[in-house]
Amino acid sequence: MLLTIARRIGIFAATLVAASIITFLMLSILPGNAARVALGIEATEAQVAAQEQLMGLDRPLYVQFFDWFGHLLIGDFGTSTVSGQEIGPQIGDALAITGVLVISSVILALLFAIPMGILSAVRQNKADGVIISGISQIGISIPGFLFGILLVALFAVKLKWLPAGGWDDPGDDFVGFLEHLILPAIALGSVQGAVLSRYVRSSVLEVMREDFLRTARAKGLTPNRALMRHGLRNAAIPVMTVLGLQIASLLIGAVVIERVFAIPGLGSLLLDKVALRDLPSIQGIVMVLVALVLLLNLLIDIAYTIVDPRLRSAS
Amino acid sequence: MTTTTPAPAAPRLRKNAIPSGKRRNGNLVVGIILIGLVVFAAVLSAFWTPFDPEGVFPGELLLPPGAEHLLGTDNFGRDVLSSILRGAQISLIVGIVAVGIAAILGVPFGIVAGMNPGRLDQFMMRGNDILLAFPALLLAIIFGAVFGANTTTAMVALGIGSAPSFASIARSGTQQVMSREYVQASKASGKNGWFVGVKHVLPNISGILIVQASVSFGIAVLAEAALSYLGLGTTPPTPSWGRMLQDAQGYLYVQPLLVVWPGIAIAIAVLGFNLLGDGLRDRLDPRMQVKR
Repeated sequence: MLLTIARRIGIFAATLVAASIITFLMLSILPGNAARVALGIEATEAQVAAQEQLMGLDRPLYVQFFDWFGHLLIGDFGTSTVSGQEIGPQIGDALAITGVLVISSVILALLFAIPMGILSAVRQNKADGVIISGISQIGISIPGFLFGILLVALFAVKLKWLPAGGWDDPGDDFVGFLEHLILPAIALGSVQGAVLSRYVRSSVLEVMREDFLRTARAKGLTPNRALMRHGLRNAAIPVMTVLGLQIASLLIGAVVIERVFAIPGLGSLLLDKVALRDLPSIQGIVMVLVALVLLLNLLIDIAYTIVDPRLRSAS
Repeated sequence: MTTTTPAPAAPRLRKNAIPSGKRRNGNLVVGIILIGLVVFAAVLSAFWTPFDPEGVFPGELLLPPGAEHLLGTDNFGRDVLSSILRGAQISLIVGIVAVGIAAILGVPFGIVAGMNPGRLDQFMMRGNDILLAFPALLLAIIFGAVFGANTTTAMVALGIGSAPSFASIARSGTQQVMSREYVQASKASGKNGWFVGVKHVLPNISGILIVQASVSFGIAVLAEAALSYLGLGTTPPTPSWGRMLQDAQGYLYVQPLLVVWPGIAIAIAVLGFNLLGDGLRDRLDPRMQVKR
């Protein structure tokens, strides 16, 4: 098992390096871009060339890459060419907020999906099971940012129960923090919750037909206890796969949701930097997002190995 | 990552697995009707809309729905119904181009990888995994930053970003086809890889590719709306549902209905392609024949 995990980590590291090369190339491909952006449109060619030299952009691409990547490894994201500020601390602050938002939405999605999925599987042909399936189909079709705007329209504008946007630090005002968190977390988690509930449903249906469940029933367990004792752990594996695949879209979904609710997270930071064409900052933020996607996939992979003994020796 | 994800448990036949044919057709039929609505709106708006969707009427700002403006007017006095109808065009165009790019890049890649097990396959799929780390929407944001944000950039970025999933699907389909006897026979009779790929593999994986195209189309429509909402997609004055949402959000306190109309339009399009994908999957994907 340890060998499998070590191999996964090796692949993760190699993929991360390759992804960083791609990120770097995409954002450095237009020569003189960063320098020109830093100086403004009116700068002359000579000024741009001087600025390039100052920023080290006249060096060969690979030298620039190793310079950037080497500093990344020690946690140094460099300084913004537009504001002159350090990029790393900005990303760190924003990431903490996005992390809270994403984790809350995953928890909400699971809290919705697991009971609903099991219920609609157990009551497959009953009216309530069918209704739950229908709700999840509609839930998948309403994009999170749209759902977010509708939530704001209802709970902030019409009922005035919750704030329409913004963010409170949990240390300053915990109630305010929760009030600002709840709508965006629901909006971000809604699609994932709906998608997951469908996978929970089909996964439980699959497991309910397994022989080992029939054995458990023959042993004298009631249908529900048999499912609880033997079924759910087996049903969890495909659901974890989907959760892993969903995490990338959750992170990217957070970019849009943060805009809807004016939350100062990584997504808002990225979009602000895009508006300013602050290429070094964009490069850093993209790298963090991509690394997170890869890291979360790695963790899910390792989690499989632990949950499912059959995968431990898989090549 | 594709190579490490275990395949879902193989579906098995069960005695009472009478496929609920009505429900399946239901998905397909409702999906086709909803997409038909969107296509109808797109085609109709090419010839006729109640008002000029780009026409600004300063005397008629933020009107509620009424006899003249069925869905009211927005903050520039533009007729909302006209914008919604015309907005269908950009959604469909983005979907078609993005899925086209994704299929052209991803399918041959996946087939070549699937037909060459071993080193080449491993190498190509690692490359695919790297691209999978860049979600389509993130790629579109990066492209917007580098090349400037507009519909073309968005379409190309969404197409490239969706290509890896086409490659994965094409590869796993190809691997299944390659183990069939007729492929073995064809190879034994001296046919080259090109012939096998085009004559045997491609027709036999077209079903799952069509399903993937439908799913990707829905994702592209949604992504275009999100990008336009963020101001990184379709540029004014071309009507786009996503940008209508962005404009409307600023007037939530004055005219909340303005977010509802583009919202319904986006939901109809996405639901339509989701249902079409589900319906087609039941029909065309042999792996799904007994599931559900």
